[in-house]
Amino acid sequence: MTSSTRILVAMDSMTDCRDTVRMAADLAERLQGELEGLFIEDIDLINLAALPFAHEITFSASSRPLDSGAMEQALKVQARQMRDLLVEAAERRRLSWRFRTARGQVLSELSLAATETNFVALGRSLQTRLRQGKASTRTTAAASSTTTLLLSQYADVPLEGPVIVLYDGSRAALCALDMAGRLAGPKRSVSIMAVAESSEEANRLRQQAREHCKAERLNIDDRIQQCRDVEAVVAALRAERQGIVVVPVDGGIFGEEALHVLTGGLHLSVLVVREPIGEGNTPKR
Amino acid sequence: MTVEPLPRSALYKATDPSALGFATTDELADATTIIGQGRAAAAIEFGVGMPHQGYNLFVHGPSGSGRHTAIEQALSACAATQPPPPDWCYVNNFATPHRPIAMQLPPGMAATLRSDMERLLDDLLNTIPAMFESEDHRNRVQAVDAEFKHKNETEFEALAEKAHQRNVALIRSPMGFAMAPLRNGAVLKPDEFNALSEETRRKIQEDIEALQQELQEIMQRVPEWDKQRRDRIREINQEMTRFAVKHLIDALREKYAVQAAVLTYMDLVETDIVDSVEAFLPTGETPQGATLPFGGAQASPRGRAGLFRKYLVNVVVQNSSAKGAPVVYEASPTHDSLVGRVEYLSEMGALVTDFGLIKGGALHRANGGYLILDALRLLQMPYAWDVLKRALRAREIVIESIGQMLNLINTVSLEPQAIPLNVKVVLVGGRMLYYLLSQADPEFEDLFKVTVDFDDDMTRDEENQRLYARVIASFTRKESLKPLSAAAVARIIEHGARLAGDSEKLTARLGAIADLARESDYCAKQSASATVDATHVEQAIAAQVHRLDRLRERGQEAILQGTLLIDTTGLRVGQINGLAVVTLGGFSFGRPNRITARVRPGRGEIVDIEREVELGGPLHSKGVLILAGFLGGHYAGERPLSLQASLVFEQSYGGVEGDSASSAELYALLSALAEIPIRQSLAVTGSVNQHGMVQAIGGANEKIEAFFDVCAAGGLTGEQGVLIPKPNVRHLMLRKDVVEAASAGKFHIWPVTTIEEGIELLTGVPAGRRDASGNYPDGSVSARIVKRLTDFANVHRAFATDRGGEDRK
Repeated sequence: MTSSTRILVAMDSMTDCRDTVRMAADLAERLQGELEGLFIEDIDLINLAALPFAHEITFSASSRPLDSGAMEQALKVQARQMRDLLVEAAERRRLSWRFRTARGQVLSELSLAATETNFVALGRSLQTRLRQGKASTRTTAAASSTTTLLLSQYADVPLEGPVIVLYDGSRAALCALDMAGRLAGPKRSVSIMAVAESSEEANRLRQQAREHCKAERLNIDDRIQQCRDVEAVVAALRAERQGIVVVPVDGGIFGEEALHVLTGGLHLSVLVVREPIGEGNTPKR
Repeated sequence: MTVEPLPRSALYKATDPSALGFATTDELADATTIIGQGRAAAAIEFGVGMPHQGYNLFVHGPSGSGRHTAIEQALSACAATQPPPPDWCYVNNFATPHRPIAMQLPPGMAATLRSDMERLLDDLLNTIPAMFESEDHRNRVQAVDAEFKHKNETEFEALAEKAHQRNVALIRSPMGFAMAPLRNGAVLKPDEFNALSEETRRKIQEDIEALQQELQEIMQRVPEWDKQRRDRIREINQEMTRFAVKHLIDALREKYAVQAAVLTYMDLVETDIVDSVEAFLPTGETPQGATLPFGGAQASPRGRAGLFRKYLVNVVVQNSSAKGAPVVYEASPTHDSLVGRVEYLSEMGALVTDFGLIKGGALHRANGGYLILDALRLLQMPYAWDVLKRALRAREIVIESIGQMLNLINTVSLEPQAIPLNVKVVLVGGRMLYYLLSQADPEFEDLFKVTVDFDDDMTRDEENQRLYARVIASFTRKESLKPLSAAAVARIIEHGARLAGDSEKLTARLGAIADLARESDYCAKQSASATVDATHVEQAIAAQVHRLDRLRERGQEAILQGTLLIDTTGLRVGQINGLAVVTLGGFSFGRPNRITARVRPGRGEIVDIEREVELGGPLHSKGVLILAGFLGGHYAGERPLSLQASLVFEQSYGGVEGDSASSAELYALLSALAEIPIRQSLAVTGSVNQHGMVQAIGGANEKIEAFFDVCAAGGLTGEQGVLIPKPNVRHLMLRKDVVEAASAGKFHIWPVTTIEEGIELLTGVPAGRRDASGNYPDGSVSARIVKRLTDFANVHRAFATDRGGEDRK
């Protein structure tokens, strides 16, 4: 257990971040870490609001003018609400917390913040931005490669329940196993899904995972399920209504595209663990 | 004229135990018929047999006369030969839930249907969620989702691409979307935009406005697409649900194939399940694309169970184990207990109800049979009588609250479908109630055409005495009492005659006889006797009297202490011992009262002091006024009755009613007029008519015993006794000690027919009869009265002359 585990909850003005804050707080409680809130004021929105012809087409299909004063005020109000939300979640769990506001391009600010922390928790809106943010892909990817991402999915899916880890034999997968062990703690066991196309490969992965867990003293379920690919994983886990899936992403079986399929098909929250670049980023138990 | 005291045989009519024909009641068979109630028995038979509307029964008569037992026996015997009526249940009305549907089913089938529906529900709760979890359902829903998502994304992506080609970005704003001008992939800052040429700015603005217009059109189409998507998914859900439900319901359709109402109900159930399939999913879960109104399953505090109540069957009448038609006695006939009620549950501070909370009433349970009610209780309960009449008139049971009936409540509540009514109602009540209803309620005689009149008493002949013994025998066996000896039964029969107030009758209040048997059994147990004997009956009677006679005893004490002035020896002019009877709490006792009379010249008025101070009732006043008629007719036929007399019950503070003291008052008046003293050792009871005939009165036994007790306390002299009207002799069933004293010549009871007989006994002076010239013999009571009245007339005339011939009052 590290004493410096810090979970960053990134928030923007687009959606209600309540669920992401709650899940991040749950994770911080399990890992005995601290909670950090970051509210990003989107500079594009502020610039747009300052333009004389700027209009917003609302979800009810009505058009209304934007102005920079109202936009600034709205962002301040949202930031305050997010702070209150974070404080309430942290204090209820007796966690240390920090909160700050940044103004700029959302993805750039997110990438910058991600370099300074172990975990980043993203709501659905920011996940979508991350996928669609072509302009900032490189910077985001750079930040992501050193960070564990918690991708919260649905409000009514609790973090309690099974800790499921997808194992493909990669270095990231070993880190994912360790992370899953930390999440499960000493009283629960980790469920492993071996992702391999053939039975022989699956057996090899099973053996490898068992040995690693034995060495690291991790509790695991005896029965290790086999899935051929990401679609099979989605089909197997679609019925699950609680718990968390720990996914290793290293450009192998689980690349960015596979992650997209996974988060699109599951109700569960997904913890993305990347292959560490240096020793300092290796998750510790 | 000489009146002889009554012999012992006239004072008490005993029953000979040996004539009863048994040693103990163990030898007797049970009584199988109602005794001494021939008229009532015939009326019951008629009323029960009449099938037409309005032939309901009103059973009246004294309480404890066996009315309930008789009617229940008669109805049970008749009901056993009739088929059990159908079951009734209420089911949900899916079209208008506040009007639940009543369903009639063969006996026993309602409960089966209820179980079947519960099982169906269990099956559906397993089948439907499994169906929604199936791969088939998931794939079909996902296909629809994907189709609409693609449609949505295609529209937005096309617009975003179009915007991108014009260097415009489609970006998310807090409340929707906006179009922003781009340069090098970033939104233009205001100063950059202002630095552009006017032409460029105008071009950007026009492009953005055009794109916003398109965006707005797309946004307007989004809700419609979403609705289409939800409709498609709903169709899929309903189609699959119908498939899952149909084979389960078809099994029930086959089972209830001959019950048209059930088949119709099954169709409605099937349609409703298909329409509201979301309720069958686990809490908080909805089929993809479906929306639960108001939070769906979580909306009700009763939880999911509450949602499925609408498919259950509320059985209000169940005759599965009935052997015949029902005979129902409703002990508390309130409005609700008769026609049923709709109960409510408190949810979130509001009261809610549904068809499952309909409770049947006594009319439901008795439908197809008989309902017995206590008339007095029925009339005491608010609106119970009204609702019963309405049900009988309309021949249907309508469940509605009093508030609804009186239009006091206007909130929406249940209006359960009325149930056809076919019941015979038997009201049991008192006679006064029957006559009041007959007079005051015009509907009463149309709805209760059969009168069952239970008599107060029956003839004391040998046959009825034997039946009495069998009733006592049945009762002792039923309640596991000790057997009664013939002597004990004879003593009870004698007590029955005493309760009837007539030595030739027996009381029909068998409840009192049963009480005496129970209490005699108690006495027998106290003395460890194997059988109940006459002595135990005597003890029980004495104990009954002792429990009740505190007031009588206090009155007796007051007399003996001289607080209440009653003389039992000596002679007094214008003073006599009258006798009254007091009934309190079902116990009657006699009480001697001193009556005094004073006379003076006047205008023929007799002042009843009791009436003047409003302590005398109308019957008492009538008796006193009759005295004036007697005096005028006897002694002042040819001249004015120049008499002013006053009569009073001395030391009477509680009012006097009845005319039984009128003969005593007349004797006191005659004594005062004739100035002849009356023997204070005698007491008198009896009313009198204008011709001087002494007439029968009530409570003769109690009155005689009261004076006897006073005399006995001071020591019987052999001179003491009571004058009673001769017609009352048949009523005598005197206490044993009175009879013994009379037999020994220590106390006398004289039967008197005329006032002349009485005044001779009281004064020892001949009354006197008119001779041919209309005169009375000298020295007779009548001669002295005539002379006194003549003197009064002269005084009155002289007084009037002195006042100048002016006759003034």
